[in-house]
Amino acid sequence: MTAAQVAELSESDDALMAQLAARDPKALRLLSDRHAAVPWRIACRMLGDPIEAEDVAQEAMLRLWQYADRWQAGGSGVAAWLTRVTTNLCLDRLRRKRFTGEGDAPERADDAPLADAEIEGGEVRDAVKHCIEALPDRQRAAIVLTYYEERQNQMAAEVLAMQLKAFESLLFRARASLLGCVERNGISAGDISKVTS
Amino acid sequence: MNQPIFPSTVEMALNSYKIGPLPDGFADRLLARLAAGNLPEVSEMAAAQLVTGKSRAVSSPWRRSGRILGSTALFGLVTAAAAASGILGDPVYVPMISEALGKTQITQPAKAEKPPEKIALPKKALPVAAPEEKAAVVTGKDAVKLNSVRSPLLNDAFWFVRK
Repeated sequence: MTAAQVAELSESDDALMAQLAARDPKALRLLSDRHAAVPWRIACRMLGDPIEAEDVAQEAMLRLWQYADRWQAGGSGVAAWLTRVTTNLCLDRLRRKRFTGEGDAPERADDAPLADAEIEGGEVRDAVKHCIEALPDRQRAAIVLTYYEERQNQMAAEVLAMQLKAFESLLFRARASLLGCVERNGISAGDISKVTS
Repeated sequence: MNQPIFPSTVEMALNSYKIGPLPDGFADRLLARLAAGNLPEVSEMAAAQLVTGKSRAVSSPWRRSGRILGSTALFGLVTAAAAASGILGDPVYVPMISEALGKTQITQPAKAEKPPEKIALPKKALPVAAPEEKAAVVTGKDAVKLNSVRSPLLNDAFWFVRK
């Protein structure tokens, strides 16, 4: 690793945001390498479509570029901001899909790298994916943020613009629905052992 | 130790839904999009998130509905209180509010309108007898006194009796 690369890696997010405000595309690349996985994961689980997920993740990163000049250093951080923006972008897309009826379109083939790698556990994974997609939008977001992204309830509540109590109630309903769906799909311990082995 | 959220088998199933790393060339495509000027529409929502740290500039539909309902209820309450306290003219009796205003003694409480009482009519209208005036026969000094105060008709009767 060269000295320049080490210096780049040690630069704080706030310093990179300052460079972004000065319209330096290199800073955007660095921030993308550091944080773009967050919007990608959230969008994949929220939308269930890798192509659309990439589009949303790029949109979130470009919004960071657009609003860099208003960035306040020492805040909740780039990852938290991207989590917030991506979740709301996904909710907006899901809402728009429902209004335009795009949600009824046939699903595109899942070309995520892991889908090919885990052929054995594909059924379990697909069943879980189906159960998550069957949840109402906000319940889905609650599960994605707290279970998969391991965010605190308070932070997830802020992302969804909810009071903490209301969010906890939403999360409780989401967990119950998800548990019911997974159990209804009859995912057995044997199926799971195939995935984990 | 925290209680697990899901049974272990379900948790394992959920954990099987993994997302792979970013697609290859993600950053290149991102920068190409930036170079092409293919930027998302300017939204004040994200700007507000960035500046204030608040999640959404536009409130949720539930919150909006709650606000509309709350405003309507508040407007109704204020109007009713104004009507009960007589700001809009004569005080109108509004249940509970008038009593509450009366207790606070800010204004004179409006009384509940009572239905008009029925006037009991007599079953048979009896003719009212006119009071009979008795001509008193007065003589002597008393007659002279009375003469000055009695009506002319009585005076005539008096003179008739004297004759």
